Amino acid sequence: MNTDSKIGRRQLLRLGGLGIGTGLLGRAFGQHPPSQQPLDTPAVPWKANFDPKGTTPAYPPRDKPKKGETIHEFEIEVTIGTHEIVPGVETHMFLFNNSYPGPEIRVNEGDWVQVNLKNSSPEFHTIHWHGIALANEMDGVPLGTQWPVGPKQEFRYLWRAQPAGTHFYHCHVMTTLHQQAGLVGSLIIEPKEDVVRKAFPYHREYTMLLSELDTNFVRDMMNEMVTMSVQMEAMNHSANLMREMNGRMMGWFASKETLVKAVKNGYVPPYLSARTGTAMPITPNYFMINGKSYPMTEPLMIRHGENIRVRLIGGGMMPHFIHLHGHDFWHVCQDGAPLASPVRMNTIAVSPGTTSDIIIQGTNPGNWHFHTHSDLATTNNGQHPGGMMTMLMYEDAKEYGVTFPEIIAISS
Amino acid sequence: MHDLLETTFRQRLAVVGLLLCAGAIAPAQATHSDQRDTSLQPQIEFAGEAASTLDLGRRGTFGGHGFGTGSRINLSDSGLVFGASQRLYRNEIGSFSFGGITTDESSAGGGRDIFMHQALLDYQRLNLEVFLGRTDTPTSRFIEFPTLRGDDLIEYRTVLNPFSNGETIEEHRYSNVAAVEFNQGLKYFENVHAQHLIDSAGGDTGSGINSVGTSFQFQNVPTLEALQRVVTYGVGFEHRDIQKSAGGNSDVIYGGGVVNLNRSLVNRTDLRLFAARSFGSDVNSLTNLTDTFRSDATSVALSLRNLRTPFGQPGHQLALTLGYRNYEKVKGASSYGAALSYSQNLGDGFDVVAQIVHEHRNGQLVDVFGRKDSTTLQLGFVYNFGSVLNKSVGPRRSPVNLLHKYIPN
Repeated sequence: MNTDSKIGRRQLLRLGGLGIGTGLLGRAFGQHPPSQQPLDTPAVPWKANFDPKGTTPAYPPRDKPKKGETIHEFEIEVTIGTHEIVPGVETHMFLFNNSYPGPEIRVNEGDWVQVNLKNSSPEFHTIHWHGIALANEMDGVPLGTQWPVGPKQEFRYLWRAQPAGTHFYHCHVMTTLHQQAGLVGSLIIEPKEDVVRKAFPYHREYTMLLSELDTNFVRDMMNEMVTMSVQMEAMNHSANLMREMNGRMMGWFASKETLVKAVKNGYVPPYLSARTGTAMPITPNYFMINGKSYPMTEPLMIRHGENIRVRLIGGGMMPHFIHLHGHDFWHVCQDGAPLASPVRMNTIAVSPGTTSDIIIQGTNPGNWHFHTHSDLATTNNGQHPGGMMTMLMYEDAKEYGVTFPEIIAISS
Repeated sequence: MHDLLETTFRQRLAVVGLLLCAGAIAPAQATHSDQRDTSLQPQIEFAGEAASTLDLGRRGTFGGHGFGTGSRINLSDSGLVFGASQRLYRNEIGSFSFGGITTDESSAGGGRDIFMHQALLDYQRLNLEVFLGRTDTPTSRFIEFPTLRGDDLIEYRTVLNPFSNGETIEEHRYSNVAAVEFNQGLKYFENVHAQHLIDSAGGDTGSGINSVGTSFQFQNVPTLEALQRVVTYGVGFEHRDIQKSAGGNSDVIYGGGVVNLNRSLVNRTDLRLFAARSFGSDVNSLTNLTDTFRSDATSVALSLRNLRTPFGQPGHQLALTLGYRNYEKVKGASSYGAALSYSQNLGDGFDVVAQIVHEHRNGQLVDVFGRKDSTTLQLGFVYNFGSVLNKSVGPRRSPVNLLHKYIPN
């Protein structure tokens, strides 16, 4: 999808064309002829096979860069900003580089990646590299593999890009809020040998990061988090107040035993009904593709006879069932890895935390709906149509006699 | 007593609406708006507070002379408010609230056991709020004091209603108000209002509006109040239109503020002050309670409070509130009061409370009140709660809105 990635200048300098948004790749295809390869015959046989040792990292995760090896450097800053989902609906969010989703990171398999995370928000953050086989200390789990990155602090992540495929990254601090509130982005690792491209030659590809937002939950929780963070910031500037800053304030305990002991001594944990009453369910009211809900989602463009690759990322908390009208497509990769054999389908389930790559073949010119079949998610604040819907649009549809114009419809 | 977690009853009631009344108001709505979408679900809110205490004093403290006049089970100042609010088309908020509050036992005996203290329509946008209806008087909501009930030591802590006969103390706290409030950055507020103060004694000029006023107030960012030196401050002016035969017009200037002596999230000590000076009335003798509300007076209330709320532990609060009132045109008439208030948090919004209140009166006040000194010990519970259904309207003065771009969502 046409992500306007706002990545650090150094990244642009070092990555050349690889780090830019996929939308640019998609548009570039218009200048090239579509593949002449018949769509029903793979260009080369599907080469992915079952390998019981396939999950072993190709590069030792705890290796360090050697002299002469290139390190791709990215600058990512977290701020509190605003994001417009559809016209008239603006909400406060945490943002990576002032963008939701965050900038797409795209590197080659085996490349070194250095991400300099700068926290310019009042809350704690980390980045978890979802699906990447890296050194434990780089995994971005607060209090699990690192201390969370506080306001005005920076943290440097360094890891080697593996395994290849479609992945994503997200903040792992209070994930329920932070990922939903904007801290998520796509992470594409180009394989040294792309079996998908060989079997289904393509020039254009699209990334669709699927997510949901409960604007009321995010608003309330961001207010709570910001309150605590600003309080802590104020405490940082006072020796007197700083004495009160302790793990209990944050809900941090050194061990299970310390928690058990604290509860025995009168500590009232926040999950008790005495402090929460009935648990308030999270009820998303906006459903997005790359941060936008229909009709503001970007269409996928294709031409007759063309293959396009679509990378679907379950970047939210709900499963979605993505259905394409008028076509079957090939499910070729799951969680980055090529399947042992492509699977033909017209609706694919994308669960939270998973990625699925599909190949759509331009076999039926027209303008076709491409949307989740979870009907709740095709609404904007309960109003249909909306949400997680877009279109597969043939640029050459007219040549095949399809003249129906694109109509933008919203609930009246 | 205010909730130890700093959510006051009034703050919770500041939300608005009444779905239960929807049936009753539907015809009017249909008349005035053809665009009403019946599928729109407003945000429904309800909040309440129950204060129940066993009050003990010397015989006769609570009226009369017989056995039992030195004790009572006090249910006053318990209330419930329902509200509805919704976003309007241009990023505004429209809301309605409706509620009642229990009066003290002496009023209840007169059949006035529930006092309608909220029936309010409110319109808000970023820089402006307009409200119209029955609600807190602009003067009583100025500075809140940490006594057990909102009417404890009331003669020192707010501007009194000169039209009240004194039988229902809520008449000093609530009135019919039409107000416009401007703000800058949701921190500085200028309020211009007109009121119909409840006239149970007689003495107004007959029009609906018998009081007009204006005030300026600074309020720091909510939720950061424990860490700021200055929580709030402000000044105001009120003009009351009273018949010449009842002493004539009376004006009041007042001001107050809250400062933290010890800024802390877990061990906070704050000091609050309210002072008012009324002038212009010709009442120069005190023969009944109404005279004490009308006659020119200077009053001061001061409160020192310590709030201890260790993280993850039940908190407790201790407050000492002192008040002094002097009648400028009545020689020797003055009074002072003191309240020592304690509450221990047993659960979220549920406190066990204890308070001892002493008041001393001099001069003609002794005859009006029938005694020079009175001391009351109160023991009981306070429970306040609130709930929001169909959540869709966030607080306007949220930390994110105040510290980042304002978004009305």
